[in-house]
Amino acid sequence: MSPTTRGPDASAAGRLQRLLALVPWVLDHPGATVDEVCERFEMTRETLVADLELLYVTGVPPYGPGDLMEAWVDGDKVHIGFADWFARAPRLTWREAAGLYLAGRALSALPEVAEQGALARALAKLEAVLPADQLGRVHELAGKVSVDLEGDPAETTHRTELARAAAAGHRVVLEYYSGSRGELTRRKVDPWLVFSASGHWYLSGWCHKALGERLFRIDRVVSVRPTEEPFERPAGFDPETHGGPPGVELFAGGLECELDLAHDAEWVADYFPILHSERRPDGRLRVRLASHQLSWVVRLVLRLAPDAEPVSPPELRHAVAEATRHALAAYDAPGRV
Amino acid sequence: MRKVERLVNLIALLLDTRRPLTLDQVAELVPGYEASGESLRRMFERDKEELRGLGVPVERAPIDAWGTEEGYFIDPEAYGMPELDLAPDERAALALAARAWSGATRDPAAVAGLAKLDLDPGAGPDALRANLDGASPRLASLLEAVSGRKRISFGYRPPGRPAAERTLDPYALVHRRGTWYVVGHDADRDAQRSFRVSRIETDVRKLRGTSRGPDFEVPAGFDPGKLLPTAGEPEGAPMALVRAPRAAARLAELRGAAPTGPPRPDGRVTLRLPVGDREGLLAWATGNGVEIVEPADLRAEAHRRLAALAKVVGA
Repeated sequence: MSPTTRGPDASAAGRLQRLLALVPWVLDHPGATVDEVCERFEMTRETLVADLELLYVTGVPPYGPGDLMEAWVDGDKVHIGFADWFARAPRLTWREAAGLYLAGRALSALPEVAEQGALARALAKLEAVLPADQLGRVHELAGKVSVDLEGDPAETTHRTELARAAAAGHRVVLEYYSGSRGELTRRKVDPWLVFSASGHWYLSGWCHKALGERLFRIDRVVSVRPTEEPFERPAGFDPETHGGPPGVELFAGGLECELDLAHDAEWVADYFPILHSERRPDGRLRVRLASHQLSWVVRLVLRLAPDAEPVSPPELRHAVAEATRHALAAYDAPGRV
Repeated sequence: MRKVERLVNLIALLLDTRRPLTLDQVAELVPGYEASGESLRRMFERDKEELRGLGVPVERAPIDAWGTEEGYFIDPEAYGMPELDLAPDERAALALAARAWSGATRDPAAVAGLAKLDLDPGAGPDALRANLDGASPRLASLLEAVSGRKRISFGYRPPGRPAAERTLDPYALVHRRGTWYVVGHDADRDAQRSFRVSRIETDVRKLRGTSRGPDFEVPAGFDPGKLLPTAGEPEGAPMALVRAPRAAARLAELRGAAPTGPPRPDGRVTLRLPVGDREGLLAWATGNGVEIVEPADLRAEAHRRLAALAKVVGA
C-alpha cells in the first residue's frame, strides 16, 4: 500500500513526516513564532499545538528526566528542547528527490533559467548527496517522465525576452493580441513577473496604456521590443500575490453573464473563474461569470458554438446574435478563394 | 498509544541506541507494542516498512558474535539529510523547482521535503515563477507505479462518457501545456493509450500489491509523445485554408501559418495552416471571426455550428 493512499495510515505517515521535518526546522530557527511555523508547514495553529502535544509525550525510552522532549507554545513562540536525536531532518524520500529533480530538469530546459546556471549547479549538488540506490531510481524515472514547460518556439522567444527584461528591470514595448476584442495593440509595460499557471505562461506588470496592473498571456504576444528605460516594482511587491492564474477577483465588479452549457462545453466551468453554477432541468449547466468586457463573453460563446447559450443579460444575447450573423455572412456567400 | 507516537518513540530509540536492539527489547521499551509472538513481529515489520517509505533507514545487524539473533538500529549518518552547501542563487533556483513540484502533486509531504532542505517556499528567482499544475494528488501514486513498473487500475471518466474501470501498465508520465498524462498499455483494450490524470476519479490501486518485483517491461523504443493528442504534425498532414482578420492572422503566422498573399482589401488575410486538432481549429475559427475555406467538411461543420447558434439566439 503506497503511503499516499488516503486512509488512517496515510494521515499517520504524513503527520510523522511533518513532525520529523518540523523539529529540526524549529531547532534551526530558534525563536520562530507560531505564525512562521504554521506558514512554513502550511498548517493551522490547532494542528501545530496538537503536534507539539504529541511530541511532548515522546522521547527515548525509558523516559527518565531528559529523555522526554520539551515542546510547547511560549507566548507566540514555539519552543522545542531535548530533541537531540531529531536535530537533523531525515533524508529526502525517493519521491521527494524525484520531484525536485524532475521539476528542476524541466526548468533547466528554459533558456532564461539555463543562462543563470544556478539551478544546474544546485541539481548537481543534490545528485551528489543522494544515496546511490535512490539516485539510480531517480535517473531511471527521469527517463519515463517527460515534463515540457516550453511553449512553441515563438512563445519561448518572447518569454525569454520578457524574463530577461523583468530580471534586469527594463521596460518593454509589447505588441499584443487582445483576446477579448480580437485586436492588435501596442503598449509599454513594466514587466514585473513572468509565471506559468494552468498550462499558460503569463506576464504580470504595469501597463502604461491602461494605466493599471495587467496580465498578459505570453502566447498572445506578437512582438517584444526591449528598451533601456528602467522601472521599479511597487514597494513590497510579492510574487506570490501576483503570480496566480487569472482569478475571480480580476473580474470582480464586472458585468455578470449567465450561460447554459451543453455537456461538451462544461469544461468552461472548470477553466474560467465562475461565480455560480447549477444544473438545469434540461441537463445543461447554468454558469454565472463576470467579465469587464462583454466582447470577451461573446467570443467565448462563438468559440463554443452551439454548445453555450447566452441567457442573460439581454445585451449579451443581442451581441452574440450580431456577431453570429456577421460570421455567418462569410459562409452564406458563395465560396471564394 | 497512537501509532504516530509509537513511531516517533521508535525512531528516537533506534537513533539513540549504541548497539542493535532485539525486537523483544524494542517491544519492552516502546509503548504500544502490546502484542507478542508472530503478531508483534508483523506489527513491527509494518512499522519498519512505513519508516523506510518515509526515508528512515531501519537497519539490521547481529547482536552477538555468533549471529544467532538480530537487532535493529538507525545509523544517524544514514538518517540525516546531508548539508547541500548551496549558494544563495542556487538555493533560490532549487526553491523554484520545489515549488513547481509541490503545486503539481498537492502532496502535504512535499511541504516537509522543502523544510528538509530549508528551502523557503517563497524564494526563487525574483521575476520568474513556474507551476506544474493541472495535476492531482494521484500523481504521487502514478509516479510510484511508473517507477516500480506496477500494473494499476483506476476509475476513468472520458469526456462525455460515464466513468469506467481501467487497467493499465503505466509506461510513462508526460506533462504538456499544464496537463498531466499517464501513458501505457491498456490491458482491457490490449493497446497503447494515454489518459489525462485529471480525469482519474478514484485512487490508483496496485493490482498485485503484494508482489515486490515489476509487473511488466516497457517495450524498447517506446515513445510516449506519439500517444498524446497534441503530438506534432507529421509530414504531409492535412492542411486548411482560412481567411482571418489581420490581428488573428499575425498571431497565427507566429505559429507557422503561411499567408498566401497580401491582405485583401477588407483587411483579411488568407492563410494556409495544418488542420491539426479539428476541434481546436473549429473553436479558434468560430471564436476569432476566422472563416474556414478548406477543407470542405470543416467549412461545413463551422457553418453548421454558427447556424445552430444563430437559431438559438434568434439571429
